[in-house]
Amino acid sequence: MTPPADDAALLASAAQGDHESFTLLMRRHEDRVFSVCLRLMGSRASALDAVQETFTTLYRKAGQYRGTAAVGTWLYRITVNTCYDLLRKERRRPIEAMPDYMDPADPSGEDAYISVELRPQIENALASLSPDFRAVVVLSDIQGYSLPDVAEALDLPIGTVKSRLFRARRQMAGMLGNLLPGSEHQTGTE
Amino acid sequence: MEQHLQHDLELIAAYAEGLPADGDEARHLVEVCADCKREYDLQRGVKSLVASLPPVRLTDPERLELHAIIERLPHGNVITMNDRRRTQRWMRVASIAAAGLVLIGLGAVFVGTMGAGSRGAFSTTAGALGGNDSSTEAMATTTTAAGGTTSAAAETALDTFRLLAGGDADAVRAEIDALLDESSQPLYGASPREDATQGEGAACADEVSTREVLQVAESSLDGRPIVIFIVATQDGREALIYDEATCVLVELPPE
Repeated sequence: MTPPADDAALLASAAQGDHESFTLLMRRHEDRVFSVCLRLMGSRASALDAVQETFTTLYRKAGQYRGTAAVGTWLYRITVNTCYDLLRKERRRPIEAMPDYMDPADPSGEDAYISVELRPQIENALASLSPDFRAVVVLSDIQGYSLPDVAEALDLPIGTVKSRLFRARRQMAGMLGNLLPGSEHQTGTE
Repeated sequence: MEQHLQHDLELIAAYAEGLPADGDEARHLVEVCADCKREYDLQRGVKSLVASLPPVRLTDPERLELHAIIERLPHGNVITMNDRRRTQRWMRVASIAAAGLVLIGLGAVFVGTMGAGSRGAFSTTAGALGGNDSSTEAMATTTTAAGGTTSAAAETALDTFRLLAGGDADAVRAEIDALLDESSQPLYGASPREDATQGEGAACADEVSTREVLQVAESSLDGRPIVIFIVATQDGREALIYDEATCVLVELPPE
């Protein structure tokens, strides 16, 4: 049987026990899910646990998908909730540097400066955020979701998303001030 | 002044997001107001820096491991693992349980009494598997097979696994020993240690094989291995905890 291509159709097939469809769906999203998990969990080992939990949950709940949001959005919600759950149980907030974060497959040389010099500072600023704030920034600024999609993924009012994003960036600016345009205007939270 | 400024800054932040509804007024403010310009630059600047982080991907070994774990998810009977590092151990434990081998030698019984319905005998309920962290959720009281009660802090199934995996053997031992001492009637009627591979042993293995297994963990107490299966029930979850001699059924609070 040739699995259908659409995410929703794949999920529906998976809900009927089609493992091949689920595997295809997983492979489409695993890197994005891992990216979110890594940014939220703060360590590679925890992120991998979170990825596994996320897809296991997706597999278990495949039959509950109602189609009111895109599969990817629903998956992001599962991802974030899984990470929140694991963070809560681990009772850990990653505010320290994350040296094991370095992606072995680093991008091209022209981005080396950004990767090597700025990355730790940016990552530390991101890690300093609370999980709620970090989730909004990760989905918006890293994963490229629109604010309405972020709101849907996090099951939040869009006004709350806007507010969290606004405040999160202000908080990060306090740690990234020297990297921002017009760096003499360093700002922090109010 | 402060209220107006706050409104403007959030408008500027929305403008920095490219939200068209906030464009005209915000654009004007950025042009004429230094504070607004600063806020716009801040929001855009941080967004740009964060977006400049290189993508992260699974390594090939990580990807393969993830696929292997997911591949083992059974149809309609999903097993979740709290710690992927126990995958191999889970596979061994699962295969042993399926064969009933874990109960060979000394036999095993369900500790409790037969109850009505297909769930079997869970008159013994307990959540007490160590841990006294008041921030954990879902506390439960315990009831012995004889009808008495023991009070103890109970943890959720996930915390229980973590506790056991962390090797807090003393706490777990105390609770399980208490349950074993207090329970007097085997589930299926025979004497606990008389039957080796039939009766209780087979029944215990059968019980696991017919249930939706949610989680598995393995630990040891004083050198004797114990295995914990968290299984789904109609109303929530239960834990089957057994060592080489005894099988204990523990009702867990709902997630």
